[in-house]
Formats: sequence, C-alpha cells, structure tokens
Amino acid sequence: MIYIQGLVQSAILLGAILGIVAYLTWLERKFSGRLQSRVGPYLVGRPHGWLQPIADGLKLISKEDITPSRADRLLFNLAPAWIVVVSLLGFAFLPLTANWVLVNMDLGLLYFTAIGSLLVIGVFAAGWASNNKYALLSSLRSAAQIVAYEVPLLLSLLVPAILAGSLDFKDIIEAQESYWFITFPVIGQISFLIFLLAALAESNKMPFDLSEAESELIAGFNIEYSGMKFAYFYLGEYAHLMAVSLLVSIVFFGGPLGPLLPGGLWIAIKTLAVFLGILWIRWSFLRIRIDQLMMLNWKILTPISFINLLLAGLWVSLNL
Amino acid sequence: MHWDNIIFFLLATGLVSTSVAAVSSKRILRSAIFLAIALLFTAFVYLLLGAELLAGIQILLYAGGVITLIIFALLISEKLGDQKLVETHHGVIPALTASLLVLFILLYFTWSSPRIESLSNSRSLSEYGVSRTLSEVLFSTWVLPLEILSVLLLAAIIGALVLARQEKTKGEEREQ
Repeated sequence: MIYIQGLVQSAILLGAILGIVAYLTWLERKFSGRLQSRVGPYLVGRPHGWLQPIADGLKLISKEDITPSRADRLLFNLAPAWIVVVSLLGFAFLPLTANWVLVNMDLGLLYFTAIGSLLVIGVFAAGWASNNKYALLSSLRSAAQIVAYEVPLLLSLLVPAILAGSLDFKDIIEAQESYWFITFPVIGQISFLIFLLAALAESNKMPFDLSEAESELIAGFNIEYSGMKFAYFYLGEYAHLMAVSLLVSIVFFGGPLGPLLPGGLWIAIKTLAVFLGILWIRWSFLRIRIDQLMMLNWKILTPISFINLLLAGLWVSLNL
Repeated sequence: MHWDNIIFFLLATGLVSTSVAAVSSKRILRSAIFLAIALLFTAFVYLLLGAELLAGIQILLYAGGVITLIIFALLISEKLGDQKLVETHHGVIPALTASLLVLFILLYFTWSSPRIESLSNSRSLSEYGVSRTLSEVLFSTWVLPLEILSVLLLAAIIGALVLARQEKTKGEEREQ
C-alpha cells in the first residue's frame, strides 16, 4: 500500500516538474531576450508566445532520431535517459512546502548531493558513445570540471548544515526561523556565493559552459543527438538548474518561511527569484578559459570554502 | 513484507545481471558504466535494509566518485576507440579457485557466526536519526581510529601530489 501511495505521489510530482521545466525554458528565452533588448518568442500563442514550449516539444518529438552508424548504441541510448533520471531524482529529497517532501529522511542533503554526483557518468557516456572527437573532448572537459567543482560545492553546502546542526532539510528550514542563513554575517554570504559559482560550474552553465563552447567544440557532448534524445539533455539540464535553485532557496533563503502567504508559495517565489538570478549571471558574463576555471576552483574557491567551514564550525562549537 | 521480498528479488536480479555484464562486456567503458549501475543497485539494497547513511555514502563515493575516476583514467589511457577487448581464458583455474574461496568464506561465516542472528534481530534506530548517532559515536568512542585514518588519507594525498610534481619537473627539463 505504501508503495502504491509513493508511486502516485511521485507521478504527480514528476508531471508537475516536467510542466514547470517546459515553461522555464520559455521564461529563459523571454528573460534573455529582454536582457539583450529583444522580445524573445512572440508569435506562437498570442500574448507573448506562451505556446512556444509546446511547439518546441512537438517539433522535437516529430524530428528524425539519428544514431551515428559507428556509435556505441547501448550507451548512446542510455546516456540521455541517465541524465534525465538523475536530474529528476534530486527533487525527491527536496521539501516543496513546510511539511511535504516525497522521501522523508534525515539525510536529505547528503542524498541530494550524492545523486547530483551521478550526472557526470551520463555526460561521459554520451560523449564517448557518440564516437565524435568533439563530443569526447567536451565530455573530458566537463568531467574534469564537475569533479573539481564538487569539492567547493559540498564544502559550502556543509556550512548551512553545520549552522542548523543537521542534514535534514526540515531541520535546516526550522533553524532559519529567526534569520535566513544568507543573512548570517560573512560566513553565510561567502558560502552562498561559493555554492552558486560551484553549482553553475557543475551544471555547465554560462560563465563555465566550457563543455559546450561553440567556438571550440561545436556544441559539446550532445552534438550527435537529435530529436527526442536531444530534448532529454535539454530537459535534464533545466531540471537540474531548477533543483539547484530550489536547494538554494531552501538552504540559504529559508524555504517556506515568510509572512502572510502559505509556505509552498514562498518556496516557489524564492526558487523563481534564484532561477532568474542564475539566468542573469548566465547572460551577463563571458565564458572563461579552462585553465582560469581550474585556477579559480583549486586556488581560490576551495581554500576559501575550507576556511569558511572552519569558521562556521568554530562559531557553532563556541556557542554551544 | 510481501512487497519487500518482491523488491529485494528485483534488486538482486539487477545487481547480479549488471555485475555479470560489467565483467563480460568487451568494451571497457561499458564495463565501467555497468559497474556504476551495479554499485547503485547495492545502494538500493542497503536502503531496503534500512542502512540509509551507508546507501548515501555508497552513491556519493562509489557510484559518483570512484566510477568517475575510473572512467577518467580509461578515457585518458590509450586502450579505447573501436578496439574491443580480446577475451582470454588463461587464468580460469586460479580465478575460479579465488572466487570460490571468497564465496565459501562469506557463506561459512554468515551461517556459522553467532553474532549474525543477534544482529538481524536488533533493529537499532535511535530517536536522533542515523547521522547524529553515528557522528556522536565517531567523535567520542572512535575518535582515535578516525584521526589515524584521516592522517593516512592526508599522507596519500600529499604522496600523490609529490609524484605528480616530480613527473612535471622532469618533463620541463627535457624540453629545455
């Protein structure tokens, strides 16, 4: 019985996330259009092209699905599915209102990061199975990037966990009753910034999207994919981005806490704000070089996040 | 109980088949991916047994970290491309003896050890949850082994750095 209930709940959650993600792509196109003094999609669906995501989806479904003749078929087909599944799995551990979460366990944060670390395998499989040198180069790059940025990502996520004294998202939210962790002097802001940078790098987003540097690598590890399989990568990317925004809004901005409105609405507003902030970063900065990227990680972000973690630990242990 | 059994057998089938596929696959990257899936199945089995922390660590370190390193090493090494691995049967007898020995040890000690039964009967779930209980025990009773282990790991990291460094300076000398 408990399994059936879980199945129904996860099906509802899945549908909701897919719908939201489809409209996040529309939002990004409108937002980036505004940032560049364009209007963005306009013609499909009259006020402001609101049917655009559906048209995109139909187009991608109806396209021919090509598998390169010398590709490794099994891995080539496995990779898009892997990326989508892993990106969507993260949502199972994130609370969506003050007291509703799909999988309720006291290790939510650990599980979320553990699942996130599986993404790189899909990227690898896609890049290698395509049998294309650009795809392979790109997947090597993004693997180096993801492995490297995992370090500051986890270290900066540990700071809110230390401040709350728990890995449970519910406890982390409760601990922010009096103040959000982003407002915690110095420690909170530093760990927020480091997390944001590392998360952008991990999801291969714009200042760090070296794995799809169009000028050098055409379009990256998914270059050989077409039709629905390409859509899977797109979906996975946006789902991951949305999960990261949701995580930031919970861990640093108090999640469902807020006056007047119900908790679910607050979480939605904060997630949207974080998502738009990420888009803003994405469309404002230029891509950096791979050596600069590694330098930034190992010589700046990692030491700072270690010191930050130590300071947080000191503060907590001195106050107890 | 009924459902738990069904799920256990599904997981066990997946685990065994992906493990066999990891060993018997002729393309080396496929083996790595199958190994990743097998490790994930192991994590699910841990979850089914109620070991949540162990499952999380399994996914984070083994399926995420170790497999990534393995694949990274594979992609950098030269034995890739369309080359399929040649299947040989040179070491059948030693390999079979070794694996049968391991199987025997596992089965024998699982069945004969008196502690197994007491372990299976005690479902120790404290009210704080696994992570808090474990960290308290880890930093009070077992703090010395933990620190020794971390020093060992630190030494390993520094050793790896030193090795990598030496190689680099040699290369530079050759260039000059």
